[in-house]
Amino acid sequence: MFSFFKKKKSKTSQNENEKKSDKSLADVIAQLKKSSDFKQKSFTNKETNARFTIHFISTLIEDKIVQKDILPYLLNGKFSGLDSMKNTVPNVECTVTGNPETIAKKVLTGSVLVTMEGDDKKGVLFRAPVELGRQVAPPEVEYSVEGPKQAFVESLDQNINLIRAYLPKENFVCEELTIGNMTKTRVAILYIDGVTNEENIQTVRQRLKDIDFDLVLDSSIIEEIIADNTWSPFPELMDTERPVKVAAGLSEGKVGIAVDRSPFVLLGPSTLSSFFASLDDYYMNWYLGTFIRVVRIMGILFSMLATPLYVAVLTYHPEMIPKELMATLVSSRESVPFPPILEALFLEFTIDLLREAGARLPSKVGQTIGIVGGIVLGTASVEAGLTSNVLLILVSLSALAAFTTPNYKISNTVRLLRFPFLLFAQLWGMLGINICAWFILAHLLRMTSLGRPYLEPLYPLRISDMRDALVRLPLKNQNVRPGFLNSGKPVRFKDKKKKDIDE
Amino acid sequence: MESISKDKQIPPYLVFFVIHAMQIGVNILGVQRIIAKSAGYDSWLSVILATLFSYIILFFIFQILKKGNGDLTDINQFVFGKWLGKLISISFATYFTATVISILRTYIEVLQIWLFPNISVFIFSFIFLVLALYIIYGGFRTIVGVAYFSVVLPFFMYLIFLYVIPYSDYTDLLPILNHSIIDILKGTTHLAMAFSGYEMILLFYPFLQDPKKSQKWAYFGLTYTGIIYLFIVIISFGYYSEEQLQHLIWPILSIWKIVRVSFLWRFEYYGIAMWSLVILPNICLLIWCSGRILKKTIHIPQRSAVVWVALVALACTSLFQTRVQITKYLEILNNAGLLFRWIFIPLLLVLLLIAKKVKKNAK
Repeated sequence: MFSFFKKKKSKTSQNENEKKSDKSLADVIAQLKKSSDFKQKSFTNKETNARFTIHFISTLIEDKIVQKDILPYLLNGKFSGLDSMKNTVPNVECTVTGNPETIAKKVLTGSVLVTMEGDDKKGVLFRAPVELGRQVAPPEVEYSVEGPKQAFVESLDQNINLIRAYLPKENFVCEELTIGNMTKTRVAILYIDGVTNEENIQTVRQRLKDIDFDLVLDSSIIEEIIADNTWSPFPELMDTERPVKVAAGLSEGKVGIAVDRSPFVLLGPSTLSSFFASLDDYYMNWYLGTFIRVVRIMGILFSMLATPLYVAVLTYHPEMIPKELMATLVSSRESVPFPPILEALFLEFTIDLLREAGARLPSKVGQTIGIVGGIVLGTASVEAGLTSNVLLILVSLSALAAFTTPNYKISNTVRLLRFPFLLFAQLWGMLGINICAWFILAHLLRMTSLGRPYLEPLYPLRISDMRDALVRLPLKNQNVRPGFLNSGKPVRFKDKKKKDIDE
Repeated sequence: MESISKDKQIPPYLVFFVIHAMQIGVNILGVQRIIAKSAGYDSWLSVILATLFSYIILFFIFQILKKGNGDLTDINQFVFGKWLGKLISISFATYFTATVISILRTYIEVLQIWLFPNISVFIFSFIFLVLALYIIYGGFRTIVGVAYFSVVLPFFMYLIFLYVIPYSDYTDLLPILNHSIIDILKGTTHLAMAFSGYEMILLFYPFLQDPKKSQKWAYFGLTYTGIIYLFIVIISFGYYSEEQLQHLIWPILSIWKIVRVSFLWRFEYYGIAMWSLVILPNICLLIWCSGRILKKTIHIPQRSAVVWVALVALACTSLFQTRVQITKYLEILNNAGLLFRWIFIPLLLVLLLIAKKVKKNAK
């Protein structure tokens, strides 16, 4: 069925291409003229009396460049034809072309078209795009306490500039492609030549080239299209808004994908453990970093399993709870009229509502919602006898723990995975939780990121990569690039041998 | 012999985990009772003997694989001819499927007795087999991944046994050799099922990246199994008396039962749930092996063959009603396993050597 659709699609796109090549320059201009922001003006050169016309879309053009850097030269300079016109304008990037398609593309991305009277086949294009967009600002999603505070913006050029600042190396390569029938989005593949595994680059290149999609609005869309398994709730490529992280990833041997108009750059191949690593881990002493990382991983496990365990134990195995603790549990559940599963689902749903509302509302209102929701709703529901105190503590703790993930996408995964665990806990108690865990384990085992195993270094076991997975060893021990990236230059820096005593 | 592409093969060290994971299964929870009946306090000797026998058989298996070309099905066809060879291979597929049924049914019995008296055999088998198929569809490497985690994750469960040491008395194990050699050997035969699993290397041998280096790891896996069984047997005989042990069906679970920490009692609930991971690779690899035999003999895609095997297993697990039926079935299967490992494999090696000589001379 899918191949049927694909065939159809490729046919129509072929037809479109054929139609395009039939168009002449006049057709393109006629089409553009329908928009009110398309402007045309004719002038006469003072020296040679040649008549020329400039065409541009006013909303895409920086007026200053046209007024100061293009028009004066065209009016006063000496030129006889289009080709010599190119040399009269010194400071602006320009191309002479007769291809209507290129002309349309350039005019639509911020170029001024100049045509001469008597030559309706060719035109000169001067680049004068207006730069609208936000300034580089501190990160908003991936916050860290220490370290540089720059985050990507929506402009591809600016983002690459931010990355290049960290990697002033001649073998840093940035390959550009255009993807999206409708959006014509510029996408750049970033890698370090010689360090990054050639196969990984080829995989990314091939998958990006194969994309046949109209709207590429953000890097997340690219991520979904080129993913190995689109059904997985786990993110396959790391998305980050911080140039440092990209620079670090690239120098390890990962491939980066930067998308114009997206403040998130993708990094791959990624492993599950890399989603739990925060930049902060590296700015601290190694055992502090390790401690925090372990806390984070424990927190995530707790976040997924706390409420399911509550449901499992209270529904099926109350014997597992010691007598004294049982008394506390029973007294807190005394007036609750629902079975544990309904109670848990109700509270989990409330927390998710609060999260979603908090994310959608402006930050100031969002805070209020958090407080209102957290304190007022929680206390009220306990007092009303709808939920038990203990569960309320567990649910709020697990919501808190889910926020410790440094990556937003993986925290959503954790948020979702709680529900199958809850349902399995209701079905078979402890056994159900385990079976659900094995389903997820099996899924993770089957998953790959750009064809590389996702669970690495846990499976396949690679002890040397453990130095920066669940724990973070001292920087001087991180002298080798991760093995799963299969880098061309595995050694990062020379390992200093320890001196013996009194040497 | 078809060649398996390198990215589908497994590195040598993982053979350790596969072999060990395949040997440890639901048997370990209850094997002490059966050997206690014949070998009593000398059961640990039976364990050592069983390990040694397994070494010999594994050595034979590697010889067969080295001399023969390809896996069990290819060798069967080479030795016995096309039709008889296929028939023998298919009977192995049946044996593997039967083992799936026995493992699943035994585990469900544990669940019924200890956790959920009313658990539906059909629904549990169904969900568990769906999980197994999901893993099998990921390919051999995924199955090995599950085997790997089934060795690593439940490891701490063995440490829990240390909890009973203060309540145990190991002087009972003395005097050594209180039982006749025959009794000890009988105990060894009862262990056959517990030690089974390594013979599946006959089928996944082409999936080993470096068969030569893998051998070492296979023997390590076997040794580790022997150590684990020895540990379990010694712990059980220290904690229980011989007579008590003969009346307990699942001694391990009863040991877990006494473990109490300040926030958790009744450890066996957790243990039983965890054990689902231990039996998972067994079931996956057995179904995978059956599917592979069917693929190579009657040429149906493995993708559909494994579904058929799973369906047969699903239908058959629901047929058992009583404990007596299950015990009887396990006994038959144990004997079939004995026949397979201790008689068929040496026989196959001899026949293979003869067949090779004869065919060479014919040329």
